[in-house]
Parts: sequence; C-alpha cells; structure tokens
Amino acid sequence: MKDMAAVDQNKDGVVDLKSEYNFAHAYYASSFDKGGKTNYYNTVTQAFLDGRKIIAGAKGEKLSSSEKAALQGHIAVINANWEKVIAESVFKYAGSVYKDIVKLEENYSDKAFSTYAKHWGELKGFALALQTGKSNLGETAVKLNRLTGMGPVLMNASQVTGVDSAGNYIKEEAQSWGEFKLHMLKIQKLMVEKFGVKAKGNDMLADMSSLASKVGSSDSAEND
Amino acid sequence: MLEYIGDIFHHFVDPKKRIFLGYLGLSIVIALLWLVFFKKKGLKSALFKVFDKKILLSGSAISDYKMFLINRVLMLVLSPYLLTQLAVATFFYYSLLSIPLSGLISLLNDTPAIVVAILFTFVFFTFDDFTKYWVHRWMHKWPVLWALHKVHHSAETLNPITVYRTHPLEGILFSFRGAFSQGTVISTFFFIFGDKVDLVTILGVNFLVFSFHVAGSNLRHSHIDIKYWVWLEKILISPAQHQLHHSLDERHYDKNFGAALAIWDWIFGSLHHSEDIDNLILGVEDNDFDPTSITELYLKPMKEISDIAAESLSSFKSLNKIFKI
Repeated sequence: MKDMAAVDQNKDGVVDLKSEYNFAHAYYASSFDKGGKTNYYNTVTQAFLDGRKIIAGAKGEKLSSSEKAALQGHIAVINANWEKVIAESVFKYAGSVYKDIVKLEENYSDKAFSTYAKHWGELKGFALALQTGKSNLGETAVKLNRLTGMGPVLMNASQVTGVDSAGNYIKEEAQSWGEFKLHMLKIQKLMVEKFGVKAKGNDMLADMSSLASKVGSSDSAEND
Repeated sequence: MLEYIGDIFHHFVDPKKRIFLGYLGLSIVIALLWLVFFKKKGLKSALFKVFDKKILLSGSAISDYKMFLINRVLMLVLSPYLLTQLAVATFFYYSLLSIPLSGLISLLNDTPAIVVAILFTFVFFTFDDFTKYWVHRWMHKWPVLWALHKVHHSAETLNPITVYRTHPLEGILFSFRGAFSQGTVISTFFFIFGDKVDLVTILGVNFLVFSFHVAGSNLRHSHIDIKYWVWLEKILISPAQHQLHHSLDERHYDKNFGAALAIWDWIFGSLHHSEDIDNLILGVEDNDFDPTSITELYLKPMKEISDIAAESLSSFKSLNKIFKI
C-alpha cells in the first residue's frame, strides 16, 4: 500500500478502520516510500507482525530469553524506522516552508501566507514529535528548536521569541527572511546528518546537486 | 579488475573529456584539411605528417602515455577525497542567504528560463576559463608551482595525451580551482534565479565546452600548427599559439597562458600571435631533468620543492639572526 490513507479493499462500500485505513505516521511512511528510495511502511509493518507472532506463539507463557531478544530486535527496527519517518517529515516541511518564503518574497497573498503558516505548523509539529522518542536527542534537539523558532517569521520580519510573565507572546525582529530560509536548509542538512533521511521530499539543494553533476567534476590531472 | 580498466580509459568515451574519440577523430579531419588546403600538401603526405612516428612514438610521447596510465589510477584513488564543486556551492549558497538582497532579486523574477540558462552557460564557461588563465600564470611565475608545472613543459613533442603529462599534485591544485570556480558560479546563479538555472548542453556537455573540443582543442598539443586570423587570435587561442607557449625560445616565455579564450592574455599583456616557424623546439631549459624518465617526472618536482622550502627557511633564520643582533 503506497501513499493511501484509505482503500475499500473488499469493496463492501465502507472503509474498515481496522484493516482499510492508514493512520498518521503510517500514511507518511507510505508517502515517502512512493519515491522508491525507502521501504519504511513494509519494514515497520512486518516488524509488528513478526513481533506479534512471537508473543502469540508463547501462548500466555513467559518468553524465553531468545524470544525476548528476537522481540527486542523487532522493537528496534520499528523504533529506528519510525523515527526516520518523522525526520523525513521534518525534512519535507522545512523544504515547503522554504518554497513558501520564496513565493511570499515574490508576491504577497493571504492564501500564500496561510499556506506558509500551515507548513510551518506541520514542521513544528513533526520537530516536536521527533523529540518525544525514548532517547534524548540532546544537541540535535537544541539546534532543531532554535532553527525552527517559536513561530514563523512574519511579513514585517518579526517572530515570536518567547512568552512574558503575563502570558503574552513576545515578538521581536530576530532574523531576516533570508536567514530563516537558510535555517530551513540547515534543518534539512541536520535531518540528513543525524537521521540519514533518504526519501528527501522537497530537497531544496537537489537542483543544485543535479546541476553540479551535469557540469561534471574537474578531478583529473589535466593541463589545458 | 575489468571495471578498473574501463575507468582508466573512460575519458576516451566521455564527451565531457577532450580525448573523447569523437573529438580526436574530428581533430584528425581538421588537421588533414589544414594541411591539404592551406599548406598545399597531397593527402598522402598530409596523412604521414599527422601520424608522424617521430612525434607519436618519441621518447617524450611514450612518457606521456605512461603518465596517463599512472595518473588515471592515482586520481581514481584520490578523487573521493577531493573537494567537490557541490561542497563549495553549498557553502557559498548558505553564505549568500545570510545577505539581505531579496529586493534586488525580486527584480529579476521575470527573467525567462531560456535566458537564465544561456547566461549561466556563458558565465560558467567564461569564469572557469578566467580562473584557468590565472592559475596557469601562477604555475609559471611562482617557483614552487613551476617545479610542478615544469613536468608538463618538459614534453619535447606534443600529442593529445600530453594534457595528462601533469604532476599529480598539480592535478590536485587544478581540482581545487575547478571546485572553487564552478561552485561559486553555481551557487550565485541559484541564489539569484532559483530552479530556473540550467546548463545548455549537447551530448550532455556544456555547449561551449563542446564547441571548443569540436573545433579541434586536441590540436593545441600536436605538431599541426594551425593559425587563426590575427583578430581571432585575440579572442580564441589557436593551436599554433599554444605550441609557442611550449617553445624553448626565450621570446615565447610566459606567453599565451589562456585555455580556450585569448582575451585574458590580451587584457593582461601576455598575448603572442602565432608565427611562421617550421621547427619549433619545445621543452624546458634544465640539463639535469630527463623528460623521458618516469621516476624523475614524479620525484624531481618534490625534491625541488623541498629545496626551495629549505632555502627560504635558512634565509628566514639568517634574517632572524640579524634582527636578534
């Protein structure tokens, strides 16, 4: 199943939420796999099925140590791939925000601004989700939060930077649009370096790297 | 193993490379046309001249072929560790984004994609050629760099493979130059024009590079002294002009550094037009340098560089003594 939220597989006229619906991250996993570079959806689902088989196979008895180890293996697969799916989403929405800023720089429209705000919200959501896993991301989390910001940079270049003691948002001109775009690229770079994302939706440097390969390299000992 | 052998000889089938068999074939045709129509030779004697054994199988030429093989193996090993133009482009792109220039850029939003592609192709080629001119000039002027570049100039006969008669350290310097010049142009264009940037290509090669090679770039390193009109030799370097660059005659020293374009030599005062010389003597003035010995070609430059370093270190020390006193 690729990039599908719902499908009426048995054609009974209704979507069965237990067997015919992809929830949340599973939907994202399948959408990234569409590019053919990753196989998150099947990997995670298969690990769940294999893990369940071990548990069901014990028939209510205690798991042997080898069964426990095998189960832990499946858990690790789910963990790592699920985290990557979230990192892919962060990567993708950082690219969307970048594109939205370019559009807003060209022409302002209310619609373009609301798309920008929506994409920033998605980015922030996934960036937070990434930090709710079992391991502490440490420095990566600090960088990610600083780059994403507490709110999107607004049209007058102001941005929410904190909350005062009365609970009001503090807005400041903390960074320019150019810097914010740069931060989006840095988020993409961070996702590649720390999580090894591969699907790379909305890769903002993809055009540049394809052009670089088009010109060809100059790593040859030749005298003109 | 077969794969490696394929990699070593890949330049012969890669249209991005000068020694692509298609360009070599065209160069032979151009050379024959020149000899028959301008030098009034018969076809048979023209063929003998083009495939002259004394040139293609000279001691100097044999050492070119050996260096081609050795350098290809060395560069295949080294290339993953060299700086790429993409790394430079990414770095510059990040730096450019921190400059508030969006006002200027929005003025250029309406530029049609085809104009952007033509402009990029042109600027990319010209800037690359410009940096080649300067790096080449420095290779001649600075003793440490000349120690390396001398290897190329030690050739006593020229053939298309002589381009690979290059010390590997010089090859590494050239790869830095390429990464810098290409990376800056790519990132600047992406910063200004975004995803409209493209390269105008033929057979997947920059249209201008392709034209340069089709027009007989291989004849620069050959014994066929094709000359252009005087006005054209101020814009494009003719094969004869580059052959003068290799001449032993002092009058020709430090002339015609250009790669494809002659305009840099013209602007910076190093242009020398082609001359009617029948037997140009090529090589370098250095009696203890055997241009056919592979060991010397690879090791002598290192020895010379360490001598230069030792010398400047000792003069620095004596200078230090003077100041202490």
